[in-house]
Amino acid sequence: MIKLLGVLFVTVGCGMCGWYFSDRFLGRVHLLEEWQQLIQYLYGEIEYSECDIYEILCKLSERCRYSRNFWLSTAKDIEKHNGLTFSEIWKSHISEIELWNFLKDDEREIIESLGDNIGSLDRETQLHTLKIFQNRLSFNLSKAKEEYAVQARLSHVICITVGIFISVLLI
Amino acid sequence: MDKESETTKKEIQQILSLKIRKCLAGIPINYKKLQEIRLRAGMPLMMVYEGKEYFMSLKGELTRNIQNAYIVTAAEIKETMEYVSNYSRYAYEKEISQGFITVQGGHRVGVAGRIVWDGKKIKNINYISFLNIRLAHQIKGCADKVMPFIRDKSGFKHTLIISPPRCGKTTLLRDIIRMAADGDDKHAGMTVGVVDERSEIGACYMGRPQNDLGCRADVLDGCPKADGMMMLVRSMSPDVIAVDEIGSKEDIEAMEYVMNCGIKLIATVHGKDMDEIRNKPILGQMVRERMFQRYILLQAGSTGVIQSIFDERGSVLYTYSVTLNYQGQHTACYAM
Repeated sequence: MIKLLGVLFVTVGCGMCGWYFSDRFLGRVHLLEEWQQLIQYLYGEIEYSECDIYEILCKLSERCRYSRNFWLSTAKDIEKHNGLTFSEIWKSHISEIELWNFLKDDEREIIESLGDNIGSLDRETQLHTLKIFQNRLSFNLSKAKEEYAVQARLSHVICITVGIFISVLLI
Repeated sequence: MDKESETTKKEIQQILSLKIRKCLAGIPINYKKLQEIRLRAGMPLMMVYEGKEYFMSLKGELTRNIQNAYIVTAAEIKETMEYVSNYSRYAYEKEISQGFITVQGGHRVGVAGRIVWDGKKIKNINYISFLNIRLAHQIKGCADKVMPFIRDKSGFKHTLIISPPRCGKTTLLRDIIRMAADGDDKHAGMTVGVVDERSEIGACYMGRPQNDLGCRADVLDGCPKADGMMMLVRSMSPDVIAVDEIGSKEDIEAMEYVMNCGIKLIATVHGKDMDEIRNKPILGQMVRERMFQRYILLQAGSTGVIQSIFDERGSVLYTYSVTLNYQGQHTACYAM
């Protein structure tokens, strides 16, 4: 009976690990989707309302789930005029994005470098730059979705298999 | 330091780079008397205070000796521009192409650098290396003497303010708007629609006038005058419409439309005397048709000196001189 319980625990535990790993892939997809929408929103605000970046960041913070704190802290620092460039402020708060670690290096690099290209450009160049970033993110998003479909199933199967294997060894 | 001066200090300091902020912080000045701060890349930091020009040192002193002056770097101008534009250069493209940005408090930051010319107009200014921060000082009460001539029991009169540049016509217009919109014991306040194409009247920041235009003023900021006048007539039902620096054919057509809608109009125009206005092609026609009921002529070569007021026939109603200073005091006054 105890052995049976042990096998059950190990298998369920490993299954949970599989679920955790697949969740990381899903989180990455969600975060990239959110950023793609945010860039689109940013594009629209710059194109049509020509609001200050502070105002836009405050609006963005209300429209997102994972990056809320990031936008709010960045907006707050912008108001201080404390000698930092926009890019420096952006980078200092980037780790406040939830699920930030779920992203791959190149995806982080895209979001980080977006901060270098906001605020200091004229309107036309600004919009053009945002389009480029959106295309890059879009490419990464479709790649992330494909990877999720494969990797999620794979991590479930591998983890449950590992669980069964450990159980067999223990018995 | 009084509250107004303290507020101005805060507004100015927050748009300057950290180092320049430090220079300025140490100088014990009355911000009400500060007129300009000039930043030029690689050149001394300067200010115009009480009509005199000074250099500013890193220790926070005003000096006439250029050797002690703090030298502004290109990076500091860039930093200042980031603050002036709120890290949103794209949002100020139109203002930059006009040569200035209005900041909180109604102060104006004039910019100069390399012009991007698209063949017809200035598209943008790159490599901004020269900034001129001009502090706004509204002179409340400077229209006190004028109001009885342009507003009586029968109502407000179509008025044209005439003067060469830098003689105070926008300042006078601003105060007339404020007084018309607020009203007083004898006159009810009127709804005044203001078309402020260059943000000179209201000095709007984020859509809100930084100058006091009275409680019944509606401001269309950054809007072309002709379109703005039409919009106001259709949407805001004003009693009076105020516009600054009319000149184009479209402006004058829109003014005629406004006047024929039962709305009173107050406008300013560049000119040194009545003859010059009469000789302008389209505006002259309006003068000859006696569409304006009052003409206020400001004296050339001085600031805020009202030379004469004429009626629609060109008869002199009153000639007096009122010199406005920054405290809004009338320093000279005589009647004829």
